[in-house]
Amino acid sequence: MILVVTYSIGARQTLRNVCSAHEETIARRLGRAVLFEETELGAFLALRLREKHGCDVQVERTRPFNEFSLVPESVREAAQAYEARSTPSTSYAKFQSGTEHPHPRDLHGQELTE
Amino acid sequence: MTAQREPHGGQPGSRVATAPDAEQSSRLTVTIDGTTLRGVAVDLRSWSIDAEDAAAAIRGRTGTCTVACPHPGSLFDAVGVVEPSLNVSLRRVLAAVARRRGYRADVVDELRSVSAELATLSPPDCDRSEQRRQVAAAGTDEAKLAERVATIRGELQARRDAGVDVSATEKRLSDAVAALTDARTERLSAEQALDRAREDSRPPRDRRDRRLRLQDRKRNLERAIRRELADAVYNEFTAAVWRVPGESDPGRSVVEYEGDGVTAALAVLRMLRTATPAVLAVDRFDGPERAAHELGVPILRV
Repeated sequence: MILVVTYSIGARQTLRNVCSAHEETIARRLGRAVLFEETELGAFLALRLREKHGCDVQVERTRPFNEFSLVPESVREAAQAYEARSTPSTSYAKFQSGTEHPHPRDLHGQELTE
Repeated sequence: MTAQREPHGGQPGSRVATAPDAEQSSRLTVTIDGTTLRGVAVDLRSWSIDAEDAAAAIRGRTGTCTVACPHPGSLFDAVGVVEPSLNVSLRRVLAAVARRRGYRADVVDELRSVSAELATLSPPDCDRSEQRRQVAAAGTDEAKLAERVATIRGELQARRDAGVDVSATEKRLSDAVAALTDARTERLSAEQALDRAREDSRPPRDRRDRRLRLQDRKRNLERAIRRELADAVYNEFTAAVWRVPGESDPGRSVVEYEGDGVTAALAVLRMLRTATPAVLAVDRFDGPERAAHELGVPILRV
């Protein structure tokens, strides 16, 4: 999908106007951001916004997130285990120490690859 | 929150003179085609001067009609020309009246600091289209060259299979492979440049984020200030509404006001009692002089 984020009052207002005129192209509205369907119309709307508001409009392209193809098992298991912890106030760093779950520092530096 | 009056009252530097008392308006002098008319009210209906001309004359434009009067302030734009279709942004106007009265809203200091920070925030440019274009162009070049390499490889194989001379084809292939290697290097370096540019875009985007939050805060503060200031003079406005002709019910606050813009404008004029004249294009009074006396403002009737 095409993610459009606005950074000014004017750009946010234009985005609102665009959204009300093109509901069929909008996958999701998120306040001052919106996800357009990945169609030529979605791209046209995003580019039109950027043309009008320049750097006050950020355009990115999103991809589907499949944790089973993208995320190592150790990370998926760590997330599951952490959410099942007995004391909610425990931080992940503390929870992880002494276990086989990955250290937050390692998670931080490790980019996801397909 | 309650708007407070400044110790000495009145807005510093205000150029609007105030008539000495409610029932007595200042006199004005109007000159039309060399004829001079004087009085608390001047009836222009027998002259071909419309509301727009009269307002322009009050603003100081010299033409057929000139008016000697103090320079109009910002409120003249809002309520100085009373026409039947007049729309009054009541909260805004009453806030301006309160400011002129010397009221000051609680959050003014916060507004000042927000505005000051906003003035320092000018986010740098973050246009990365040139880098994106280079990545796309390098990608296209690479793909074309890869296709060329594959084609020549095919040719080479065919020539080998046919048992003919391959030296020229080999040379072409090695040239194409070298070009492909260069193109790949170029594409990678373009991609790296774009990645770096994307990273560099973060701080400017953070600044834009901050700016938007401050702009929203500023708008909210301005709205709160207008509400607070309008509330501060609402009782006085209510009293004025009851004294001017019209069918309006002021209620207890701006949002409760039920009535037309003309009545609201007349009430505000009565509150202001300026020496600057108002242009009257409605039939609410028993003659222009009566209007001038009831409003405490010199009147140009059109």
